[in-house]
Amino acid sequence: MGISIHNVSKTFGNFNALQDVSLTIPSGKLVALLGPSGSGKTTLLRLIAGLEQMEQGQILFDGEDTTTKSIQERQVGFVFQHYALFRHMSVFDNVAFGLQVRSRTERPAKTEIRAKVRELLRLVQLDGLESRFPAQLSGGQRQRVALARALAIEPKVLLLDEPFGALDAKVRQELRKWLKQLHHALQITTVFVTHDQEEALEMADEVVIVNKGGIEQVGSPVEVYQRPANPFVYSFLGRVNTFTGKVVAGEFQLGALRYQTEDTRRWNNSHVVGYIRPHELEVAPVSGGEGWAAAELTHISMIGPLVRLECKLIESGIPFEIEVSGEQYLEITKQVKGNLYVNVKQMRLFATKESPIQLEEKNHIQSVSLAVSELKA
Amino acid sequence: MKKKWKHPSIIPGFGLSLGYTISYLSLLVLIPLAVLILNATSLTWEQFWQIVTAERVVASYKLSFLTSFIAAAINTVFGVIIAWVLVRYRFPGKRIIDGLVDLPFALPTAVAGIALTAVYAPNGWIGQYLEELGLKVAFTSVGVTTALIFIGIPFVIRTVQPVLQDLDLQMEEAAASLGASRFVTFWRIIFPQLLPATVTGFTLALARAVGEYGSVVFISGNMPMKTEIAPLLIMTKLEQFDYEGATAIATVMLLLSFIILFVTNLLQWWSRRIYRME
Repeated sequence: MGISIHNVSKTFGNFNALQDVSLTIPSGKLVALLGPSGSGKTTLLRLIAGLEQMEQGQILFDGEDTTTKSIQERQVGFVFQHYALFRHMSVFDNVAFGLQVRSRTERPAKTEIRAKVRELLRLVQLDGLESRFPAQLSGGQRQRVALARALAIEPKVLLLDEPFGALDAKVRQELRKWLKQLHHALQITTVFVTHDQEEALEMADEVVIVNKGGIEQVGSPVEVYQRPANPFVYSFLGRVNTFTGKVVAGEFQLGALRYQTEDTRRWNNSHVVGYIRPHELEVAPVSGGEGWAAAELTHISMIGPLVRLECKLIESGIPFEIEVSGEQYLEITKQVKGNLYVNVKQMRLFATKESPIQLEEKNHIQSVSLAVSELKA
Repeated sequence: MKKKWKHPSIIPGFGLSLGYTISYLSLLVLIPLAVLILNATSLTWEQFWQIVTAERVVASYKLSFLTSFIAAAINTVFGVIIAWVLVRYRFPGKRIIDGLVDLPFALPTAVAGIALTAVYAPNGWIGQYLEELGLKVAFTSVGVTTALIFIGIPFVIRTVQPVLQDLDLQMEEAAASLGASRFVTFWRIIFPQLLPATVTGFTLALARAVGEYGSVVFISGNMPMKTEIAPLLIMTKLEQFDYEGATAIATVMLLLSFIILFVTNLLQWWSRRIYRME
C-alpha cells in the first residue's frame, strides 16, 4: 500500500516538530526516515500510524484519507523502539493478541489462531519459545516477538521506530540483514526510523533525510550519498572535510590547492565551501605539481581495512582527514620525507551561508565512515 | 558439601541489620502480642470459649469484619479510579487533591468520626436528605462502613498510584495499533499489571479498618448487637476492669486478622505469579 503525506504540520507546545512536510512512500518499498535526534522523524512515523494527531495536512493510504481514522482502524503494524511487549503475557499471547481482540464475527477460531501464531513464530525464528515470557528473552528475541506481533494483524504498512536502537552491534547487524530478507519475502510497505546513516543506507530502498521538522532530501542510498542535495545531507551522511575558498577564473582556490570542473565555473568570483569526502583526496609523498598542497600528518588511526590520516594544511593550518587503503598507506610511509602532498579528486561546492564552523562540528560527531565501494557492494 | 544458611553478600552489615530488625520487631510487636495471648491463657478453656462466643461478642465480630470488608472493597474500586485520575489527567487543583488524599492518615480519627456524624446524622447536612429517601447513615452499620471508608481511602490510592505511574504507555499504544479498543486495553493490559498493587491496597485498607476505633464510636451509636464493633467491646471490658475478657476478645480478633491477612497474601502471591510480575 502506498502512503502519501500532504503538507503535514505538528507542534508540541511551542516546538514545531514538523512543518509542512510532504512525502510519497511507494507501495512495497522499504523506506528509512533518517535524521538526527529531535528532527521530527519519529513524530512523522507516529502520525502515519495515527498515534499522534496532526494539526494540518493529510495522510492518504492508497489514496484514501486517513485523517478521521483511529489507529485501530488503520491496520498498521507498529514496532516500538523498546518493543512494548506485554510483559504479563507469554510470547504466544503477545503474538495472538491482535487476533484475539477482534470482534466475535471477525475473530478466527482458536485452532486457526494457534496455527497462525506458530507460523509467525517460525517466520521470526522463535519456534519453540511460545510459552516464554518477555523477561526471559534476549533483546534480539524480544524485537522479533514485537515484529511477529505486528505482523499478526496482516498490516498494510509496517512501521518501525528505531528498531535496532537498543541492541548490541552484532545482533543489530544480523537483524538488519534478516529484516531486509523478510521485507523482500513479504513485500509489505515498510517505513523505519533511524539516526544511524549506515543502517539507513544499507537497508532501505529509499532514504528520507529529515532535519529540523522538514525533509532535506529523498532518494536511493546511492543517490543521497553521492549527490547530497545540501551541506546538511553531505555532512550527515558520513565524514566530510570542508574547505572554505574562493573561485577565481572558474577555479577553486585555497592556498596552493586548486580544483576545476564544470561545477566550479558556475561559482565564479564567489566565496564557497568545498565538501570533500576523506577518500576523495589524493595523497602522495611528493608533490604532483600544479594544484597540490603540502600537509602535515598529525594522527593516524586504523579502521578495519582503511587507514585514516588526520592532517593539517601547512599554509593555512586547516585540519582535514584522508582515508587510504592499508597498502597505499605502506607505500606512502616508505617514501615520505617530511610533508605529505594532497590533491582534490572530487569536491562539491556550496555557498558559504551555512557557517563552516558549525559544519565542522557536525563532521566531528560523525563516527561512521562509508566508502562508495562499500555501498556498491 | 554442607549448605551454609547464610550466603556471603556483597553488601556489608547483614548481621547487624538483621539483629536490629529482630530485636525491634520483638520489642514492639512480638512480645506485646505474646503477652496478650499469655494473659488470655489465665482463663480456663471453658471461660474463654464462653466469653468469645457470647451473642453480643459474636455480633460485634460480624459487624467489624463485614463492615471492614465492604469498606475495603469500596475503597479498592474508587481508590483505583482516583489513582487513575491523579496519574493520567492534568487539571487545575490536581496537586491539592493529591495532598488531600493523605488527610485521613494524619487527621485524629475521633475528629473524623465527629465530622462524619455531624454531616450524616438525621439532622445533618447530607443526612437530612438521605433521611427523606429513607436511608439512615449515622447510628447504623452503614455509618460504620462510611467511617471505615474514610480512614481507608489513602491505602489503595497510595499503593496503586506509583505502579500506574510506571506503566509503559507504549504498551497501550501497541495494544491500540493491534486493534484493541480502550476497554479491552484496560482489561487485558492495564488491569493485570495493577492487580498485585490493588490487592496490597485492599489488604492494607482492610487491616486498618478492622482495627479502627476512634472514628467509628462516634458515628455508630454503639448499640449492642447492632452497631457495636469488636474494638469498642474490648474498650468496654477494660473500663470494667475485665482484663481477661478483653484479652480473650482481642486474641480472637488477632487470630481472625491473621487468617485474613494470610489469605490476602496468598491471593497477592497468586496474582503476581499468574502474571509473572516477579
